[in-house]
Amino acid sequence: MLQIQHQTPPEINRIRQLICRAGDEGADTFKKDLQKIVDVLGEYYQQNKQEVKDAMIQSFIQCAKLLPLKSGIYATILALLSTKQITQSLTDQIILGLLEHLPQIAQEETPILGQTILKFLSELMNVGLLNTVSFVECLYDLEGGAENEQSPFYLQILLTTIPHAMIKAMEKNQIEFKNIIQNVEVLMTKRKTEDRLFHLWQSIRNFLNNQEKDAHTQIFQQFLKTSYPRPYLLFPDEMTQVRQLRRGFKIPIVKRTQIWRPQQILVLNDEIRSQNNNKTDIQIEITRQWIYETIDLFKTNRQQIVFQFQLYQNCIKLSPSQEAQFRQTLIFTLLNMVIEVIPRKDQLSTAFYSGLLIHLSQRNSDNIKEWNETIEQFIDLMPQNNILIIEQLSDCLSHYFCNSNFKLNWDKFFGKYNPDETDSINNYLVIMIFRKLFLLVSVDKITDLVPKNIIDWYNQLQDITKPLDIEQISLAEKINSYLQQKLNGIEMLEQLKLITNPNPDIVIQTFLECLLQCISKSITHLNVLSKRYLSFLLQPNIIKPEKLGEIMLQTIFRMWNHSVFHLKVYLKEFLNLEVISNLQIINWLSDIIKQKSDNFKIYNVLIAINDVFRKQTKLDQVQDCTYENVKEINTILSKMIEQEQDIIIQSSLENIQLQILIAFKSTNGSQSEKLLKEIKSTQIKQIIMSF
Amino acid sequence: MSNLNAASLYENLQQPISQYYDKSSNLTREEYFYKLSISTTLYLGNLSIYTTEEQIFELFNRVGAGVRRLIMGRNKETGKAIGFCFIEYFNHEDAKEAHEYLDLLKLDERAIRVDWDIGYSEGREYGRGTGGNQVRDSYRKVADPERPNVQQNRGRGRSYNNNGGRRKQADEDESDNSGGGYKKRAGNRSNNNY
Repeated sequence: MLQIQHQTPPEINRIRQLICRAGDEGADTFKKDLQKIVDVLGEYYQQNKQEVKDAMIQSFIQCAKLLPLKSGIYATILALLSTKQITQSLTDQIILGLLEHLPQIAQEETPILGQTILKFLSELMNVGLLNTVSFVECLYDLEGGAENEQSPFYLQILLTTIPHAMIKAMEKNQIEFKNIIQNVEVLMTKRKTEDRLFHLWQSIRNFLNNQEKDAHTQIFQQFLKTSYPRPYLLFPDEMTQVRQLRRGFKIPIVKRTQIWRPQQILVLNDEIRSQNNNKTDIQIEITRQWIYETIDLFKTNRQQIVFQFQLYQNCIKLSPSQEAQFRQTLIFTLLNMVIEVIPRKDQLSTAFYSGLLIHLSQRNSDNIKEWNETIEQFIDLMPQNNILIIEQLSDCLSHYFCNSNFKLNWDKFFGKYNPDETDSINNYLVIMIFRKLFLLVSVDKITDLVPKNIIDWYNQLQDITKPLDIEQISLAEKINSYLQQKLNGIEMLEQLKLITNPNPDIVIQTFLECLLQCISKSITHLNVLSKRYLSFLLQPNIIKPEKLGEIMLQTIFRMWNHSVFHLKVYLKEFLNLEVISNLQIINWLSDIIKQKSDNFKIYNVLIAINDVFRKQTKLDQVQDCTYENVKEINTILSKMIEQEQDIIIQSSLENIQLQILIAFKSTNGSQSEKLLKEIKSTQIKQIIMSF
Repeated sequence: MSNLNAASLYENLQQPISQYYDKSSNLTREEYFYKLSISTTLYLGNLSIYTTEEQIFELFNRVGAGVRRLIMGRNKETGKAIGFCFIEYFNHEDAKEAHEYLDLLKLDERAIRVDWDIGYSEGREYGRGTGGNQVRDSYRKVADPERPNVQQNRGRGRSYNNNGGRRKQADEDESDNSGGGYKKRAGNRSNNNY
């Protein structure tokens, strides 16, 4: 890995820094900085020291691979260096080095490596270092790979390369390039999903169609305007002196078995798009692809990811409307990633996105009003049929609001609540956002910052920090006194046995209710008391485990159906303690839905179960993860999905089904293959196989 | 998966994993920072003494596979919360995500500090400062109603240089009374009365 280290000779470190940080100084001195880098690197190359040359080659290779914003910058530097005869072999070796990395593409789980390498190679073609004919042959290679693979891995690489290569390719090799476009058209018509590939393809197709109509290349000129991604535009005279390499190369296409799924784009931000023409803007799609790449490449370091976005904004001289478009694309892309609820292997947490959104907004404090308005626009366009989307979005927004100094257009959010529509999805959204917000920040701290009507409305809702009341009051009083005495499990059992009651289950149930009341005081109470008491209940001859699990789940629902937070926490805790099992949870869910409980209570339970099952994918021990159990769970869920009329509940059930199957796959791969064969839906199989 | 980590290109520009070295850990600096590099535990500082476990849990449980364990910092004498806690995740990657993206952001109207920790062991949940509170509260120049009210006691206790406390530099920023006009909550819920 390219690292600046103290043991390394200073000149090597300097070379690495120069190349890595090329263009970081900003747009004002950009041309001068590039020229300086070229001069310095040229001088180093002239020293003819092998380690210096190797450092230069490796630096270019690593940076070209990992810094997609700078592909054009590196191509320009190499083009300028090539005009100095002495460095001609440098580009040769860099390309060879990159080609050696190409077989690695097939081993990757995502196409990012392929995308960035091909983008760089297309920029080398744009500056004249690479032969157009041989580059177009590469596109044929990718197209061949795309035809033969089930998932759109190579297709993604091909589509993301086309925008960067198309102008030169159309200019120098129009017939072959048009042939490729026609073949891609065929490949894309076979795909039916509207994901990021679909929108990228639409924008490419529209651009090319318009370009044909507009022979004077006005659109081309607009597309080529910004110099930071294409700095070779700043050196027109020098580019005529670039010596082209007569090298041909091939993209090695290897048959892959791993499935890759492109991200969904559920909410579009293209202002050009209209219902009639269905056009998309290519610049938006290119920006969107770059945002995906940057997040993936820099996600381990928040400072760097924020720096990259600032670099884009500072160095690409955007007009006010372009700036607005970039801001909208950025926010919409981030929020689209938040609301992508169908499981993905590379899905990051809502805390990642909300944290990133906050840090980025803090660096755009001059435009914070526009920033917030864009978020409001997104919410207005959000799909209205999925409560898991509401859960993810409310996570993100509640955290964002906490860090916004509360200078928000409250009417925009709270205005969605309609007291006359008790079950509406908008009402659920508003309740979720404010419940989470007022969990993250105490209401009494912000009474001056939030409108009074919202505070009053919130105070009327069921308090999510308190459970509902216990039914058997006198029995509860007795049990509570034992709990206050801090009896251990055995002592408690002895006391409970002494209680005479015609229905022994009522004693256990009341005990559990009292226990749930106690453990609701804090997370620590939960940890201590549940271990102290629940473990003794699991002993044989006290109560059958199935019965205990059933009573436990019924009690949790009765007392906490208004609080997603507590449902999640208790389900997870009791699963870990093996008081309840996944199968019992699904049966319990089925009963709740059959009983036609209030919709919002059902939604709370669905969200909690989805969350708990999702987190099981990363745990070492998955409860009751046997083939028979999971098969039974799958059968029950499939039946529920089939019978369910409400699409909101149905979509959540489908997600829960996916989560448990994915959890099973990650812990018992061979058995899960057996189960997958019995699943009819191709889409479900594809999703599970992508993990 | 290969090293698709572009941030590593800028490693020389990155901050050290933590500014804080706990001398009472009985580890050498090398051992200590190595433990941090593989740790699954975070230290959360600058919390309000009124911030509840649920509030912390709600935010930090959104990361990865969720929180494995949460241990509130307490006053050994009174059992009350003193404004810090430890959060343990199931793996280092989740802890890193929380550290990167939740550090210096607000929770309960305070900018919280998220730092790496070598891991919880019994006794570390107690404050080491005056009266069982945190040391930093003993050196507070500006009164903070959301932190333990400690008599200023200059000249006693351990003296800290700029690197001795957990980002002591930020002390002046920490008495964040934004959202003024709030009422002090009656007591706090974190105690050891289980």
